[in-house]
Amino acid sequence: MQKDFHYFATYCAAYLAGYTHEESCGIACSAQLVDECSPAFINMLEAPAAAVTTQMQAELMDANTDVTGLQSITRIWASFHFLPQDLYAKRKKCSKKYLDKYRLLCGPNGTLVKDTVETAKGRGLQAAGLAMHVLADTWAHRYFAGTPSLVINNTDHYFYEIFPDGTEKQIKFRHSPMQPDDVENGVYSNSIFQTGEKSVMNLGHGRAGHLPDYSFCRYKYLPAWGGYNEIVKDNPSDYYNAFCQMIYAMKYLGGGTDAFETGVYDREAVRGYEEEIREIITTRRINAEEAWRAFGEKLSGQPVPDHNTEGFQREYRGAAKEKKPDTFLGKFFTAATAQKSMVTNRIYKSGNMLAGYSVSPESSVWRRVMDKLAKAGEGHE
Amino acid sequence: MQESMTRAHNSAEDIKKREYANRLYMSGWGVTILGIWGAVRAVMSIYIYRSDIEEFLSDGDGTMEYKTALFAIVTVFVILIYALSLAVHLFIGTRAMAVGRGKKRRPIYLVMAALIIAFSIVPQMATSDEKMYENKADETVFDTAFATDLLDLTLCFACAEMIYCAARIKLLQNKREKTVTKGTEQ
Repeated sequence: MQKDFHYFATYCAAYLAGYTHEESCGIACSAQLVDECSPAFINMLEAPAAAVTTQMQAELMDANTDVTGLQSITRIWASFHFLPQDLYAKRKKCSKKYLDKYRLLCGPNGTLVKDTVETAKGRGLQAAGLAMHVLADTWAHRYFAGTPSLVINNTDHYFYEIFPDGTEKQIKFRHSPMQPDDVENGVYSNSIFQTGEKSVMNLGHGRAGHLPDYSFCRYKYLPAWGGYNEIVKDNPSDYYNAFCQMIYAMKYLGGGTDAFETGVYDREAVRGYEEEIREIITTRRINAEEAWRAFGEKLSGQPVPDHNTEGFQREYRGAAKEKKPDTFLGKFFTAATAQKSMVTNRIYKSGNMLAGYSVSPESSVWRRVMDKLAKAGEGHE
Repeated sequence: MQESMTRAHNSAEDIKKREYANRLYMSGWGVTILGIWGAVRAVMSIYIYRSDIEEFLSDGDGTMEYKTALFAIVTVFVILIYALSLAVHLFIGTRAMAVGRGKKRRPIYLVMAALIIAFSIVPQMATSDEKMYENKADETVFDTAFATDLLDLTLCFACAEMIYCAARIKLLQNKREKTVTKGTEQ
């Protein structure tokens, strides 16, 4: 998903869940920050390296693809952008190596989504925002995995956009990342085909371009893992479900409900706004920031500010070392570390080594390690 | 909006048809590549055996001009043969790839694929393998002969795969048409 949904739509969902304007801004800012907290951002702030939540394109190009490099990439992308749906999925007639990658397929309403939301409970607005980013991405990025893998994430010529009137048009991708997609004429870019199984070009939904991030788009294709089964991706439906599920999750995080269960969507909260939300989601455009902003301002009656973390960065830099965790970004970094630890640990416990070794966050070993690191004044993955 | 507007077509026949179409496309690729390789090999052969050609030209009866003209005619003839072979391979390969991508083409390419198999297998069966390799071992070209035979075998396999997949696709299409017709009649 893009900033229009992660920031502005999350703001709207937070407000509908009962948060104030200021709290909704904080949640939205944290949700969008997940797409910006790269190694360069962390290095600039001299923040804990374990809090990295994304990697920019240039950083990915430079990333190692040896065993530890791939584990590092998988830890980031599977924890924040491609949350696995079923770590114990079964598949016939395949090797363990393949099965491990297959089990990292992202999808909504898995047990990890529940764990993500519950991990964020009581950890503040930053954790809530981070959890909403992860939750929303399980809908947009479903059917792709957060590990570089040709045999899982590849697509081929069989890629058709489905228009509202039911007609279909084959999509012929081009490989020019500098040129924006021409949604009016259905001209899209994707990552170039690489025969290397572990090439970073085969990470996530690169082979499908930005289509998963366009809320208006419906398409069908044959994923490499699908065994010639056709997948129909209905983004308008998925984005609407993501929005309603975020409201439900944030009601839980805000104390409005006692439990968070998967497969539950708060459609009551959007009663009276369905048409407006449908209009925003289904309008054919590259990003819907202004539409979501207008909707948010209508809900709250207050201007929704642009996403800007300059103030939070100044706060973090200016804070004393022992006070840094109490700043806005400090709390975000703590939430990110907790999320990554939780997901990596679940993947490791399922017998899958693609995210590397993991110590349980609840263990005394982990606490001793973190104490030592805190004293040494360094973060560590 | 909560339900998908379209449903995926994943009946057993649909899945099989996609698989056979993909295999047909890949076998078309294989035949094309092997055809190009055949042409490259021909050019390389002329280069590699140029010393034998020069020896032929300098030895024996006949004037230099006669031998040069003879050589030129033979060369042109050989080049035409290889060009024809390349054209046939490209024709078969591109047709198969087009059908694999859902386009309609006449099945003449399948007949030609069958002929390739026949022309590859019959000479092999007509000549004793042992004798062939024995001769070639004497001439220290056993390695190239073996590699050539392997490539010929690969080509036969690609053509056989192409014919098989095209036939399976046709069967599935006919089955679907019969099902649709029955449904319409009912």
